[in-house]
Amino acid sequence: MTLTPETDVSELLARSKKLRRRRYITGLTVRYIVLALLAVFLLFPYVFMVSKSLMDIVDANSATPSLFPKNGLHFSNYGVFTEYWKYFKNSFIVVAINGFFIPLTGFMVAYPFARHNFKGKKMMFSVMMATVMLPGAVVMVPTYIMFNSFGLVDRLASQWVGAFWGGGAMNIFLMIQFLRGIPKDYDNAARIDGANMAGIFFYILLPMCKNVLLFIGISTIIGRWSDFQGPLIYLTSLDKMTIAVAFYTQFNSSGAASVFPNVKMAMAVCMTIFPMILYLIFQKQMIGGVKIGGLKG
Amino acid sequence: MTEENVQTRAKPSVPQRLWKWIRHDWGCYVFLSPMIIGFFIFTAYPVITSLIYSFTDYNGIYYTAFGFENYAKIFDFSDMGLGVGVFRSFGITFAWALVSIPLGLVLSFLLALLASKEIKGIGVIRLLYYAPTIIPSIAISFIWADVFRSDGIANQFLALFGLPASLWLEGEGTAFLTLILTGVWGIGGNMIMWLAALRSIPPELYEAASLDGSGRLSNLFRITVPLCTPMIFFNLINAMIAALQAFDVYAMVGHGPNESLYFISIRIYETAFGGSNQYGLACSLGWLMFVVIALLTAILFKTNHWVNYGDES
Repeated sequence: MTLTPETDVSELLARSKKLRRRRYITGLTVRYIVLALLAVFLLFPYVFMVSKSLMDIVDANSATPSLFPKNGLHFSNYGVFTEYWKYFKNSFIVVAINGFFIPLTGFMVAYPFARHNFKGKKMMFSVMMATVMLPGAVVMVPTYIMFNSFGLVDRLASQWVGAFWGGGAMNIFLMIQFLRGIPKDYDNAARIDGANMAGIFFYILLPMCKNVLLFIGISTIIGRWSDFQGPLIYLTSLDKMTIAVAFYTQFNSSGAASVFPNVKMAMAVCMTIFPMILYLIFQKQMIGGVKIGGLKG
Repeated sequence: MTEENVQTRAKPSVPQRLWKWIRHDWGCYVFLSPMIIGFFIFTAYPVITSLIYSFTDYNGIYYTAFGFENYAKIFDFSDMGLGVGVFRSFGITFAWALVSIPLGLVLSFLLALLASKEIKGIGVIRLLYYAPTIIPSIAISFIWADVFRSDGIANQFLALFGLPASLWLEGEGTAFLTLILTGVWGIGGNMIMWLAALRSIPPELYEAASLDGSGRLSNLFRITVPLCTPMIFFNLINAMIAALQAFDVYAMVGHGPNESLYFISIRIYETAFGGSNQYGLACSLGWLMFVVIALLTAILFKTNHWVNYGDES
């Protein structure tokens, strides 16, 4: 558009503002549509799982499967939850012990690494970080044999004896990074007031690091909840099993309950509810924890 | 420093030095004790025994031979040896890591870009994107095994568009691609990391760049991606180590059709606990895996010049 002395500038401005606003609204609409389509796509496993869990057996085994139930909704499939309650209970014991002691002992270990100088610090840190590369397959057999000689095989204890030893290099590293972000002035002030290492640890740092501890605790719980390689090796009799491995042995293609795909999906829904509740409650900590883990590598 | 000082400092006796060391550091060691004890029980001892077992035919009760037989068997590519099977397993595992990690990083980055703008309801949308990653691996395995059967719902979907049916997880040629496809539903996990990384980039940088006439695309590749490289690198290492140990597919399809999804960690598990109790052999396979992981990690660290830590001036 050419500007001539006769052009009304204020009208021009208003028109361009309107145009920009219209463009902004179209852009926003397109964005929402794309976001919604992606959400529908990504939520497909949920739709499939919930829908199939409500089918009857004829519907679920149909040769031409449909996404939604044809023969009405059958909530009775969820009766499997009470049937499998004892395995849920086993899993709750395992995740509770791991989810409490792994962050606590890991934080204990992280504290001197982040705050003190002691002989062997560099060496210990390198050895610890090197264990990240060690695949579980290397220590799998000797650990099994060791547990066997302690009578831990086919005991639920085999799933939580490892909880008291710091919980692995990546967790400790994460906590060291977090601790480094807290000014040392807090420690110094407490020391002047007569606090020793334990005092600083319990009264100053532990409360300040609540969020990172929660993040590690919750991720441990969610990870252990779905872990099935460990229990598959150590737990052999059905009534000792955690929910993930009981679910697997009963419902895999050679399992006793594999002919009930609808019940299988009801079970999958039941297993998903617990981590989902945890995630919804601790959303802030979970996202915050990812931040620390991702950025300060 | 005075002369007196130097003299008294130069000659503390050994017990004196020891005493000073303990008095100074004992608190630290108390705090470190869980890791130190755990390291000896759960790492050092098993690692040493595993190395010894790997040279034997130990089966849990006794062993009869000591030597390089396991390793010879692994590298024996004849019909008698395990070479072909083992290296096929390694090949599948590498292929999985090589395709799934970059694909996941790129897709989750695109998703994060789309979900990064703070518009109304974006929090809920992000939560929905993350939701599929919360489903426990055993449950999601069963879901995919059902969806991608040869007479499952995926083929009904193809038929809707008049496309021919596929064997999906049950076909030797399609099983691997199907597995990659199922990985797409897990990109919400990395999206959260990308979002955090995107948010940590100071907005002044973009303002300065736009003053210099930089467009959106060049902003993306000259500011956003370079500043995210530390996160990418950290993620790459972790994802690589995790992908090489992938085991969860075992619940989905076992070995896959004609062993096309027989990942190395599944092979090791079956060697030890699949009924034949070949503990010694399983240990040597584990060590081979360790060597591979260590080599790949070393390569990643040696070639990390592309990572921008922002401290070189």
